[in-house]
Amino acid sequence: MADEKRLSLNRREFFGHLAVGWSLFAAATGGLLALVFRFTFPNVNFEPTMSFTAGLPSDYEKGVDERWKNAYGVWIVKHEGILFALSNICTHLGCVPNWLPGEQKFKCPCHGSGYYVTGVNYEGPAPRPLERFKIVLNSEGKIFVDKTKIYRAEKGEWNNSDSFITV
Amino acid sequence: MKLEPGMAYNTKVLNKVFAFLSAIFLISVFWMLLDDYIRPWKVYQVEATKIKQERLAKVIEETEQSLDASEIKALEDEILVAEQESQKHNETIKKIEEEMHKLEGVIHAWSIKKGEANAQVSALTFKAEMSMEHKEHNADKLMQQLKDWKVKFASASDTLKKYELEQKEKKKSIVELNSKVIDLRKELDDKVGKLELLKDAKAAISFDGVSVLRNAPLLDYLDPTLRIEQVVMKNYYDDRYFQQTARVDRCTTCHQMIAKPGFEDRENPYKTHPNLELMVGENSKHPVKEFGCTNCHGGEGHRVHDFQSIAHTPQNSKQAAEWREKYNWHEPHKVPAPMFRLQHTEAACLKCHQGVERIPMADKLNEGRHLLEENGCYSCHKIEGWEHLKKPGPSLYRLAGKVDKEFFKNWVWNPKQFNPKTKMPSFFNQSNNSTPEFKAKNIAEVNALTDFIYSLSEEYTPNEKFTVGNAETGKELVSKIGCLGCHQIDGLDENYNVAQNKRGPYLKGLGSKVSAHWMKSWLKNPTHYDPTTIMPSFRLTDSEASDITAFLMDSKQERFQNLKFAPLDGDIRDELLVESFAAFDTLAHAREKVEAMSQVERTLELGRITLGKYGCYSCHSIKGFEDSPQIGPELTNIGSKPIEQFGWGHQHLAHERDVWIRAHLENPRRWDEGTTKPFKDLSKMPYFDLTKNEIESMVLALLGQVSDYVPLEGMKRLSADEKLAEKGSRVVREKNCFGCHKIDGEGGEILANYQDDLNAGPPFLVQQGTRTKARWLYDFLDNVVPIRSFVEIRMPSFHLTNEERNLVVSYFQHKAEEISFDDERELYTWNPGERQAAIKLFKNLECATCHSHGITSDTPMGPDLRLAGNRLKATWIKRWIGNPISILPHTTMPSFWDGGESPEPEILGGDSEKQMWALTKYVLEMTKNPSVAAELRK
Amino acid sequence: MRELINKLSDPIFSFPGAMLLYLALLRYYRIFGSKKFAKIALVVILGLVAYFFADPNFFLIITTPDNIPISILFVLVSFFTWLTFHKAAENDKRIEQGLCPIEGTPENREKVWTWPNLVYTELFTIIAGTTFLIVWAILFKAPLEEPANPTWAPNPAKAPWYFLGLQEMLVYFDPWMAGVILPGLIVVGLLAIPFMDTNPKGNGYYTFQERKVAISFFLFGWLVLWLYLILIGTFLRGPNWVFFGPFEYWDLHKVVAENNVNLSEYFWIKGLGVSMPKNILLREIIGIIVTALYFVVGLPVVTKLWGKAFLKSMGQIRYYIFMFLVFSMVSLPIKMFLRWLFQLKYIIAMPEFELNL
Repeated sequence: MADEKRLSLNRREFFGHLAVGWSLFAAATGGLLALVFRFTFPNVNFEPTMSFTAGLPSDYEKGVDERWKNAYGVWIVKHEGILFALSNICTHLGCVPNWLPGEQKFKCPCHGSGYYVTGVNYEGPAPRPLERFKIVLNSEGKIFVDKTKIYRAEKGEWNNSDSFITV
Repeated sequence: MKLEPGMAYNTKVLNKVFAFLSAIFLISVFWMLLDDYIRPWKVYQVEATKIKQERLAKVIEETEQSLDASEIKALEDEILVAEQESQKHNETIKKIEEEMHKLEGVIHAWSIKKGEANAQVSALTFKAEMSMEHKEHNADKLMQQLKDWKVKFASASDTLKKYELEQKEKKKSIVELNSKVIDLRKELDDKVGKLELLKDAKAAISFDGVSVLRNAPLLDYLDPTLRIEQVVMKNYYDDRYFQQTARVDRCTTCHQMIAKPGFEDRENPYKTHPNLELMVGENSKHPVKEFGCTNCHGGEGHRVHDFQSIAHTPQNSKQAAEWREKYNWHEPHKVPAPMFRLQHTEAACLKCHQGVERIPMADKLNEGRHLLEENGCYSCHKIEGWEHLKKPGPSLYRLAGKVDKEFFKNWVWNPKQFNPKTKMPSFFNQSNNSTPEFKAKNIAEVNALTDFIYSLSEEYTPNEKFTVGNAETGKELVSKIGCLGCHQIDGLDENYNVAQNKRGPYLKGLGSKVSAHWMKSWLKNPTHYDPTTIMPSFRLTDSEASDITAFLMDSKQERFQNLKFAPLDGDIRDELLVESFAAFDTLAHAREKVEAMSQVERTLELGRITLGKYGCYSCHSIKGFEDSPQIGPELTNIGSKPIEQFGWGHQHLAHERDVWIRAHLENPRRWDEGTTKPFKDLSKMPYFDLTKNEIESMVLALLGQVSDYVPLEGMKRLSADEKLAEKGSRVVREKNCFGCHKIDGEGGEILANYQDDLNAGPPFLVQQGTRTKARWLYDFLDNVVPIRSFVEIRMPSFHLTNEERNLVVSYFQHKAEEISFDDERELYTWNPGERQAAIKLFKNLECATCHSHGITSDTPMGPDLRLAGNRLKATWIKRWIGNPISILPHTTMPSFWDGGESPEPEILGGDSEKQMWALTKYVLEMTKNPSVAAELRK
Repeated sequence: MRELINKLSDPIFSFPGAMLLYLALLRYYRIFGSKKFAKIALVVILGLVAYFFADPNFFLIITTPDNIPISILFVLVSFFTWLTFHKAAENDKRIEQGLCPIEGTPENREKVWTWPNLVYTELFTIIAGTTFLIVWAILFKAPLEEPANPTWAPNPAKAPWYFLGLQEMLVYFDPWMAGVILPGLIVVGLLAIPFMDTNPKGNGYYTFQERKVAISFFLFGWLVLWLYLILIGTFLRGPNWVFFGPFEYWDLHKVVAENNVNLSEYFWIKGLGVSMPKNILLREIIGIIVTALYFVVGLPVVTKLWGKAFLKSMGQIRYYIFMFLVFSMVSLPIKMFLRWLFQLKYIIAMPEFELNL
């Protein structure tokens, strides 16, 4: 019944307590939401090791080396002057291909996808080449493979210097 | 204050309140952000990074200094020149690059065509084959389509290959044009490459703007440099009560350099792990990525928050005080398995290295287990895996024929009074049973026990009669023939008192203990008294036995001999019996029962009860009590026993497992202090009078007895050789071979008496399996003949069963991973001229000086070569001849082929190998045909 | 001094003490509700708190993170109980003088806008509450204890604070009673209050005089039974659910002599000197009779003495339901006294059916 005497906004008081209050409140609520967002990214995942040291480049012969295949799912390939780490997951449906040294190709037993020694697909249903993992030399000159970072040929990422080591 | 109508409050005031509340709201949210973001472990990582930076800077400096700056400059100048030269190829290169670009488009187009063909082939393969299988009408059409597409695919593949080859060629040509630059660059890189890598590594861990952003609050979800490091193990689990979860250790978050060599002089957590080749290092036996940290150290490895949450345990109260100050540390609460104290870490070896008596390189643990064995803990307390060990105390089957009752009573009352070095612990005169009342009861118990045990004992008459003997000669014999391999003996000269062998009892005062006849009979044939004894026979002649008996019997314990044990008080005995019977009956009935028994029956009954009470049969074989269960609680899993289940009595001790075990070993009766226990409820574990160091080792060994589940993949699995060697080692340890022989570096305590001349002592057995022939060793163990007549110490004759002999032989064979039999057929035929060469060598090298048997009449200083061919393996003989010092560093056998050079360059063309084999062959012939030695007489 | 406090804290003494204090509260509520009393009480309480906190054992219990809400609870309950009686005393005085209660004065009857008066202030409470929880969460983090072990129960194993009253009741009652029937009756009783309460007075204003019965019985159940039992269960029950005074160290090995006897055992074995009858009904006849008498005779007696007015105003159904609930509520203190005085275990003991009273 007392509509006439409404509270009016006085321009002089624009930065009055109300505005300050609301901005602080908004900042605090936004902060809480930001913290919630941050919370959804765990600080550590309960998963097996995603990186490893793989010895010296001189430890590897030309061609495909399978010594890390069982432990980490990685082929170390030395081919035409570069050393790179191929993922052993077929890009068709995720089986593990076999390396056939006689025919110099990776052949997936599930549906017959075939890849050259470079990892490029050329037969069967595989739609794209095998992925490369980050591979760098550490301060002792040893190879360090990091499976959390992948490089895809079809995106042109195989030119990225972290996806191969020049030998 | 007038309010506007419809308003309960003044809006201005409300707004002020709102602003204030929002402000503190924001502050609290910000505080939450900080509390979540600021973690103690990040501080340690920052410090660790700084240390790593420091070190890298140092290494970079050193590397830079090692480089020749002028050389580098020269190379760089060359590169500049080459680059300028290659400029003139720019035009060509540009053109080629343009062509390549065009080619890329073509290749891309053909890739698509090929991909399409590939897809069609795959799809049609399925369709066509399926329609063939189901015999559909369009099968042929589909097959034809498939054929067509296959052709298209083949042609597309081929064309694509053509263009790709072209591209390759073009690339190659560019490279060729730039080849000089590329080569020079490579040369430079070879020189400075390492430096570049080091600089990159240093940059990667620098605290620049990028790293600040990466680690900023809220933004650090992407890819922080300060992050939690972990090792997830697939072979080791955390036991979450019927659920095994893979163990994860996050210790390396703070202990960043634990696996990196070079930080050994730092303080933890920035320290390199000691002994990196055995533990933690990448190429060690226990790499951290496979084994983690908590497997050995315990603690809450999956927690990271701060120093406290991991349940670090200080080594002692001094370190605890340090930690309280430095880290605000307090005792961990509600942690099922806190870390081992650093000095107890070896206890953790036991849970994976099971089934072996000694674990390589775990010296403290081995020492502790040895002490548990020596003191016979395993015989009263069951420990799984120790069941094969003999009872530590002598058999009491025929006690009546060895000592008299008076001796026995005084002995049981206080063993150390007679033998200060005895292993038998003390049951009486302890802190909980020394009141006059308890003492009187104990006296009654001892009297009754004696009568009871003697009633069970068989009759025994010694096999020999002692008349006279020369104690001086006896002393000589005892010092030299090898008694000291198991015993320490009172009254010997100082130099024969150094070795600390304790397998047999300390021999002192035997004149007050046994009769001379018994002694002589025992010495000549120990099994006559006790068929299960491990004491061997030294093949003593009658006069030797008499002399030794005379010496030993000369040692007396007058005071002990004159002790008169208090007699049995019948009333106390009856009281104890009534108390025992009244456990399941009324007092009246119990008294009746006792009344109905005769005096002798009562004494024997009390003796039987006492025997059951103290559990003597756990350590001694007693007739009728062979199968009685061990009297003490099981210790198999004492390392995992919940803290709540330990009883602390009224002792004020920290409630920790190792504290309890230590306190218990220091005085097992302490838990009765301050209690009001009746006589029958007093603690019974006897007192062992151990030194502080012994107790520490035993505590460590017992802490290792845990119930942690380790899957087979995680355990140390013995190879087939190791398993058989381990089986055999049980016999070898039981008979105390290690008391005399140093077998592959272990044992040989008696050699402490032969420091002046190790060759006078028992031989070292180094890789024995490669040395003696298995068949010979097997026969030798049953039929000992002297091999080295120039030493006084004797190999005793052990009365081994057939199985035991086999096990001993297989122990040596499998320890050395040696196939049993060499093929020596070739070595029995001579090559032309070889035999003469051998004889010449033998004479020139003057082998007969020491190995004189059958050749000269000189006193031999080396073993009889006429026995060597049967005894030793030919391969070993050859190895020995070639380099004896590498096998036995203290041997007097000369090394004729020192450094591979032959001492006789004329014989067999100076070929060392041929010479050694020639001599070996000759030794073999000497064995086969001993008369051959005659031709060496000249 | 400490020994005395420890001894007096035992429910044997402190429960009657609490009851007496409560009766005093009701009798002298105007004094209790006065500002002077509040000020004096505050000073005394602060002094007591300082004295109590000086003791390390007490400090340990009171600062356990789990127990801090209880402490806050008691502070708040004390304050609001005082506030209630303060306002009730004021109003009762006014009503005696013939005035309307404070809430009835024209100033207080004036209507105000929900927005912003209610909504704005609600926002304040939301912000303040959230801030309070955030600060609490930072300061008293949820502890990370050992992995859950189904084969080992912590000692003492305490229920959450809101059930500690019931857990304390378990000392005196069989689990069926303490855990199912009595809590069920509590819930049912609370639900039934609006239907039983026919007193039109006290609607929208504080008063005590005009709602004596309702307030007395409710506060008896709330303060003397529910809160008091929570207090005991939280702070004064230690390992093995043995009583420990506030200054006593929680020694795991403490044993209290307790050998409780059933009523039927008292009757047959101790009283008549014969062995217990085989027939269950016969065996427990004395307990059954006593319980029946309690309700069947007790109710009419109480009605005759005090309840006539109520029976008239509430009607038979309401009255008898109300009385049944009151009798059930009072049975708890009665049982507690029987336990302390006579070591009485169960009035009716039927372990064959796992049902005891």
